[in-house]
Amino acid sequence: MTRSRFLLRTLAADPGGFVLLALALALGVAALCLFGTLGVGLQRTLQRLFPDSDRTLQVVPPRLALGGLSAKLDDAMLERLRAQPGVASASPRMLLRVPAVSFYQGDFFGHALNFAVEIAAQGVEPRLLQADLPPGEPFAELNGRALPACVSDGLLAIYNGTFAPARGLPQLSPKLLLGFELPVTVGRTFFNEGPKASQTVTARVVCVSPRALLAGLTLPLDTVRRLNRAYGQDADGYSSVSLVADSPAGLERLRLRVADLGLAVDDTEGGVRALGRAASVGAFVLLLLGALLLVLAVASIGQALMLSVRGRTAEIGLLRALGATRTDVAAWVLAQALVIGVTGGVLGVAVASLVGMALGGVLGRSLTDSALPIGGLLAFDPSIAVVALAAGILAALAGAYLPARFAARLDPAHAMAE
Amino acid sequence: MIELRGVGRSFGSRRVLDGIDLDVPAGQRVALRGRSGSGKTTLLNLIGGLDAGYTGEVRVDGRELRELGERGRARYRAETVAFVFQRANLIGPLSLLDNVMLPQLFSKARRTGRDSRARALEALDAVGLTPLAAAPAGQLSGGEAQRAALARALFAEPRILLCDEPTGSLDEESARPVAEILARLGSDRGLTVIVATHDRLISEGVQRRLLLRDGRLFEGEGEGGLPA
Repeated sequence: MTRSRFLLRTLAADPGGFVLLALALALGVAALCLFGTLGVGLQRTLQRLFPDSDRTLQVVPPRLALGGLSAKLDDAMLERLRAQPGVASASPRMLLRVPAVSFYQGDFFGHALNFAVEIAAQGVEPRLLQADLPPGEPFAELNGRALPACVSDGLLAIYNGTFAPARGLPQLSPKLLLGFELPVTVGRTFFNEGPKASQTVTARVVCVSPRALLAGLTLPLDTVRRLNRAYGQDADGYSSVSLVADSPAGLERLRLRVADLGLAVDDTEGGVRALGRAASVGAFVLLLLGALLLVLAVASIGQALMLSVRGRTAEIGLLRALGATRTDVAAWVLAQALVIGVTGGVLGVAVASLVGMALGGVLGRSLTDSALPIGGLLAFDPSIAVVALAAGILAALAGAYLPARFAARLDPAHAMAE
Repeated sequence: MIELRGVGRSFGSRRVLDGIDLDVPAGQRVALRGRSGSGKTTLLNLIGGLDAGYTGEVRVDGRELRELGERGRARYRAETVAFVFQRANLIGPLSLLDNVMLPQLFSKARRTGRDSRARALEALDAVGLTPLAAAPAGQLSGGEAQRAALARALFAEPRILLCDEPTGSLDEESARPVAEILARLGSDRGLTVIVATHDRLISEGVQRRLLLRDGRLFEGEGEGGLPA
């Protein structure tokens, strides 16, 4: 007879009670794991889609020009913005102000494909995409080489979710897409030529990035500037500037300074961020619900173990008579809770990962046109599973604390008389 | 050697034991009689190290039990003394063999599983229960359960055996083998045995009889006996 065998026999004496307690705990752990995964997934997705979103402003030229005087978002203004206190960086963007279209005809990843599509494009400084570019890949227009272009991972998600299944085209990964080339004719629309002769260039995908334009191509800033100039469009004024503050706390002060400079702030992303924050708050509330279920499990375990201890007073007295110390008795009760905790915890994590997989699959199929990787929000996260498992075990031990204390304090002489 | 000097024990305002003096040499078998509530169980609990709330001195082999502390008394209970209570207190879901081996959970003595099993079977053999070794303890009759409790006590190889009304809940037919085993074990193994009992069969098998009355201990069976 070993202590572990004695412990298992003790638990086996009331299998129904053991299973019920483990299930109660599993429910709490599963909820905690699932809602925790959702919350963290939302945070990560938002962080990926809107990096530094909590300290970034999208500065745009003012929509209304009073008396013909309007602040222009040009290089001079960019320098003024960069010189503002509390500014960590300022990254300009310039839209291609010339119509462009792509007439594609040829092999598309093993499929013959013909399509024509209007192309929107923006130009950014290379350093904005530094983190997403393959090592050694320059983001600049070089003689004799195709134009480097980045596409949005959201666009890729839409292609994989909607376009590819509808046309019987292959699913593409970001890695597979690198190196893909398509012709871009600048200076004409889908229907007709512009006032100046169009020119056709080849754009080559060199990165897939959340910082890229969602529906279009992101090109080197100098290229877009050159094309705008060549077609007589504004080549000095930026469409927007991403202004990153030193800290989230400094964002509102920066907003006021931007207004003082006569510029406006585009809050479109702010709205999305607010939506994201609301979703995070929702996930947090669900997380609290999971925690509440765990607290209920703690109470159930505490009550059940207390009943068990009270019903086994004579047994505890016997163990003391056989030489058990108070610590031995407390350890015996806590060990029962530990077994319940581990069983319920593992069960809860398993249930959460299965439910997460099933829900992720359903959401992924029903929301295929979303730029957000919804299905991945509930993907199994080992670190959250470990935290939920630990929380389950701690909850079981917390529930057993009072019963263990009670059992340890039983007077053996009186316990034997029970 | 068990020595009690001026031992008193009260529960609230009720004085259960009052100035008990007692010497029990090693190997002696003693019957302890007295009315219900006279303090027999309390006295056994003090000698067994289950209760340290007494006044006076309780010494076993020269060691004062209260001074051993909580852990020391637990070790004393695990290695020196064994109990048989009025109720067998077997753990129902465990097999009889596992119940007998329970003291091993708290013993510091390292034994292999095979040694323990052999010793447990030997203890069961001594009380005539070997054929039931694998049976769930909950299925035993009252007499069998009390013999199993004796086997559990023997498994621990104690020097002192304390029995509190071991046949108190048994009919005469079931009580007889328990009394016989108790008498035989005491003499064969040289155990110091103190039995609180009203059972004539058990009283006949001991070397010394004591009476507890009004918190005082007397030699012999009659109220006119001398203080122990």
